[in-house]
Amino acid sequence: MTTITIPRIKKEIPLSIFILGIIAVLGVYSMGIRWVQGLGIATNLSDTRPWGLWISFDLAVMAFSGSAFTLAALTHMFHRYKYHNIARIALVSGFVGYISAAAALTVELGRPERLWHYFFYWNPHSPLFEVGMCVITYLLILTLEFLPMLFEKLEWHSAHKFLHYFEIPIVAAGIILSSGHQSSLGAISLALPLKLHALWYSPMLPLIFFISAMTSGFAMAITVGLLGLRFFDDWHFKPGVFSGLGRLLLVFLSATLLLKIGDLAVAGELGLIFENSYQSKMFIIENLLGYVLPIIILLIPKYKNCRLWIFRAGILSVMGLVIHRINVSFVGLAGAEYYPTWQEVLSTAGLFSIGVILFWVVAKNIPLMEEEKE
Amino acid sequence: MSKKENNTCNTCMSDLTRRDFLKVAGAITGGLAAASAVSNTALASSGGGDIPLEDQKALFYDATYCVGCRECELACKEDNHLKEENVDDLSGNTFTLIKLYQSEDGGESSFRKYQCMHCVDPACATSCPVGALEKTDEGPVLYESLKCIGCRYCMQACPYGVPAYDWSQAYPLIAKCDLCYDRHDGPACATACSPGALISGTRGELLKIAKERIAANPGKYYEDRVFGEHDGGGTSVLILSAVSFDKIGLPPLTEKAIPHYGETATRAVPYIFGGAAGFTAIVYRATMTAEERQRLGKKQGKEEGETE
Amino acid sequence: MHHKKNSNLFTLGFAVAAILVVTGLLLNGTVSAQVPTAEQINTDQEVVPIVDEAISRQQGNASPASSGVDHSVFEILQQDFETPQDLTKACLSCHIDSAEDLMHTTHWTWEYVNESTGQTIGKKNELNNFCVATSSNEPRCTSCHVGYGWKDNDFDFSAQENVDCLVCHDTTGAYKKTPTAAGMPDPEVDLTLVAQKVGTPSRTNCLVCHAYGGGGDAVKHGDIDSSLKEPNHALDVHMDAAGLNFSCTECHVTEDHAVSGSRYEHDEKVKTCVDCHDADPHKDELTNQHAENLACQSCHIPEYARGGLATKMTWDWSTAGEFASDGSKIATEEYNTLKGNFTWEENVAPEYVWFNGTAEYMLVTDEIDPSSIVPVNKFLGDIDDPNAKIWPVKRFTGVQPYDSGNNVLAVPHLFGKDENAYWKSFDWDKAIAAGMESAGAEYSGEYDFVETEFYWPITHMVAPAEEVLQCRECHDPQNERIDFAALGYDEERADELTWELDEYPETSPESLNELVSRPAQTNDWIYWLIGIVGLFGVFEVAGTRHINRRKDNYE
Repeated sequence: MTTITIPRIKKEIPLSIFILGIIAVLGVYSMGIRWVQGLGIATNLSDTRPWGLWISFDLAVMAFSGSAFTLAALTHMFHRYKYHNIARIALVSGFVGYISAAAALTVELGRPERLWHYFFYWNPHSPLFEVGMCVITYLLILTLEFLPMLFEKLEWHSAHKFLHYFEIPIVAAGIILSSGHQSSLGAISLALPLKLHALWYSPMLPLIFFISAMTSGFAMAITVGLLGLRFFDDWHFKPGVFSGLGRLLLVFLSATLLLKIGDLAVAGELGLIFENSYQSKMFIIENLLGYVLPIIILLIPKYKNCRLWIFRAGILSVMGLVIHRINVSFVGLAGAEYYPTWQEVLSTAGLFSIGVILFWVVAKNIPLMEEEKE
Repeated sequence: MSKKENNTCNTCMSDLTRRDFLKVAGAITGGLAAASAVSNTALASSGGGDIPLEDQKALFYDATYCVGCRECELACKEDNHLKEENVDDLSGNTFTLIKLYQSEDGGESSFRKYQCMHCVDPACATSCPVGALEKTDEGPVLYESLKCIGCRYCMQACPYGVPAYDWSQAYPLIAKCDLCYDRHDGPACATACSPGALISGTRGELLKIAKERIAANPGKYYEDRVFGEHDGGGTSVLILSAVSFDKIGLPPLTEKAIPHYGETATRAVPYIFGGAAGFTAIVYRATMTAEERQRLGKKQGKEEGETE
Repeated sequence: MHHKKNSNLFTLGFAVAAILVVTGLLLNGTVSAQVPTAEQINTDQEVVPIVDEAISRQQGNASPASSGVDHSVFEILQQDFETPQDLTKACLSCHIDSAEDLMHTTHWTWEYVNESTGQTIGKKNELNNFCVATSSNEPRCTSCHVGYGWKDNDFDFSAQENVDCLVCHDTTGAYKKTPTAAGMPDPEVDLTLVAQKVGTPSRTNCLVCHAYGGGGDAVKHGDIDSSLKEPNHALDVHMDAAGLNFSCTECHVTEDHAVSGSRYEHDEKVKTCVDCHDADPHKDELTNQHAENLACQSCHIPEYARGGLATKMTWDWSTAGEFASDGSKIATEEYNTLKGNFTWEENVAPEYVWFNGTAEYMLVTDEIDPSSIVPVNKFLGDIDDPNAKIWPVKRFTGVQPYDSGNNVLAVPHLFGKDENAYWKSFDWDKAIAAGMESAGAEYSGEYDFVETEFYWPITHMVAPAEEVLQCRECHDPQNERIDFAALGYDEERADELTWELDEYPETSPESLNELVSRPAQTNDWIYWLIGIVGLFGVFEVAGTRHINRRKDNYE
């Protein structure tokens, strides 16, 4: 891989990371524009379009970060330890994801300096309150899940052992909290019965969000896992890990798709898929490309065990999830005309880049792979 | 202590006895169940308790009396010390606005006063994560700017699109009508209205006036009903119009209040927690491999043996 | 001892005298002279001191015809009167000052000195674009004079017996003055009967003259016609016969036979709206602010001539003199041989002008500009005048003769039995010559016709509150009532006052597109698709090649 040498520190970093670094700096600069000049200048948001690119980004990232709890459940709750390595990767990518989602809040909120209000002013009726509280608590859990890896590297054995003792309850807490806030993210849209297009609006939204978060968790794990093999020489996975993940992905993709289509059928709204509008076309794109296609790939015997095809299925599922979140937060939502400003695009790209860079830093310095035992 | 050589989770697992695990899992579940009981009581319907609905403050607007003089806009701006501006929509400096509907051929027209509808069960109050919007006992929905974190969920949730930002500010706060909550004589707009299109009073009184007006003019008002009696769960700003409500920009709400759409999900949250807790505990136990069960059993047996 | 006695007496006398003098001085002011003065005694009359007796007899029964004294008991009125003047003398035997008082007022003199404009005007001198002038036409015009016999310039204005008491005080409705007899009553009228039934003037008395000006019922004022005799609430809320039933004198307060109210300048004594209604009678501030610049009448009399009688709006004298094919005079609604063409209108929306209460009138001596419409009268006031308000007015337009040589309005001699009267010979030249001579003005010998206008203030026929003018009647850009620019408002202000419909932000079913999800027809989905495919391509390139190269690619 092509690398660039940083003159002063005399360290080598991959070119792609370098480019991401530049994007990250530009991203922070764009965030600075929002902090100094305000939302009116930095975004194209308006009173009837209060949520834009940043919210879509937040929703998508939080869904992918579901890989942390999904893989943790698979590994620890279901005792499938061959997934342990990918679970650690999923944990780190999930953690990084939540951090960048939280960082996005500093520009997205009108009053980011008041984030601490979550601790003092409570409205338990609000799904957004539930999301906030759960995410705050979950970040703590993620830290507790991540620290053992850090302690391992630092060789702080007693600290490592102490945390390790509580691993199962911590993982359980992580699953519980994740199920709470992933579904609450869906519940947010329940307050928009008129605004959200019928193709996506459903009383099942919390469940759909939850299941699609798990689906994208697997998809993310596949993507990051297989992509990382290119960048990290020490990465290795047990045989059957990815085909196993592929099978699980197939199951959850089908479940999600079934839930969505079934919900439409029960509501008698299947016809809307063919109403030939912008929204219906996006619905078709989302489900065809993001769900049907990967399902087909994963069903074909020749491909279901091929890492290449599993990777493609993973990518498609990732994009399907992103499109779904975009549809629910923008395309399917009535509101003023909107397209993101360059500050919004650049800051989102910057936040994404920061996330990737963070992951790369962690992956480079902390052994994510565990030695094979037994 | 010899277990320390191994770093695998399997090894760690053996340090935990079944009893220990169940204790911890039980504690978590118990705690969550308690939380669920607490949050269920907290989830009892939000806002507007002590004063009965018909005695709450309200505003009545008859679009057929409105001549578009916009004195209400001026009075509102004066009373709230707002900037003068010419805008097409409610904004950070415009809490009420008169808009005009004209049919294509010009045969039909009507004014409409845009402002916060002060819903009986407001979507904004339920949506706000920090509770900055509140349905007061007296009726008006008030915004406490000190709590607001600027998440803009209220803007998204409001079916009328009322809460507005002054986007020119770097750290804005929501702006909307507060029905002149602190004003002795009630809403300034109603005081200023010369043609008598705006009347302020209690919701019960105003509904009565509206119905009398409908009865006295059969066929004049759209669907012979007053908007806000039940729409979206009911509003405290009641509107009579000769033209259809959608023409003057009122959304086609059912009688169900917006917060009720998400009620099931919010109520379900503690049960989700409890369920997930229970589920993980059950799964953990049920999917153990035989080996692990043996290991756990050995450990338990050893303990039991010791205590004997 | 003698000295003491003398000095005591002197002191006593001095004291008594002083007391008498002081007392006399003190009592001088309080004791009024009961003895009638020379002025008060009409030496020709018998003073009949039975008034008190009559009044005391009245205590028990109310007068059937009017709220006042039953005059049928008076002996002096129980006789046949040969002339109406005899009757007047009989009235004056008790009402000693009445004629004297009346003679100081414009009802008698038909003259008014307007101090603000310096004009000596009044019906005697005034020109209008109806029958134009009284001079040379007295026998016809003075049928509405409150006197008997003013047929030419030789009328004795000082003779008290010439006062016509009955025209105002008749309560029977039987009293009539012959239209062409210089104010003399119709000989058929039983003066005795009328005299015995006199009372305080009702609306009918005033309307007998004021409603019929200009040659007929409802012709002139627009807001005064015979429908005000028994109006209903919808026609006039104050004079409503079944309601408040105001007589004219409720507002036109009359003291010593001087009826207050003037079209020449504001009379302090006449009651105005604010004398009963607050200065800020409306419940909202904005309407009260309007009252600062708008006369109450502007909004509360949305239309005049609402009583079912049309009022005359135009009068074209130039077409007069046409006869029917058989030589007879034509007399239809639209055309009269004597007068020319007219138009009539009912339920007329007023025009609006600034008016501070003072009006200027054209006199026969005033030069005119025949190339534009001649303002025979002009209401003074403008937007900058602090005393002026916007008033509703009737604007009457006409075409009338003028002296084209001297450029002054012509006084035509219309009525008369002589050949110069227009209504006899239909010769304008002769008529104008005679009329100008009577008015004491020069006539050049040339005449022509000129367009004129004349204004009447609209203040009667006050409509009920529900009928008040609505905002858009003036503020709508399509409105036909007010021209803000013409009233002197600058462009910016006139623009503010005109509520153009496109100034309002729009709402429509389409505006719900931002609140309610509706199927959109944009092609944006193509861009999304391109983005997705592109992104897939990136991952495909970045991620798959190396996977392919690995040995454990297939698991």
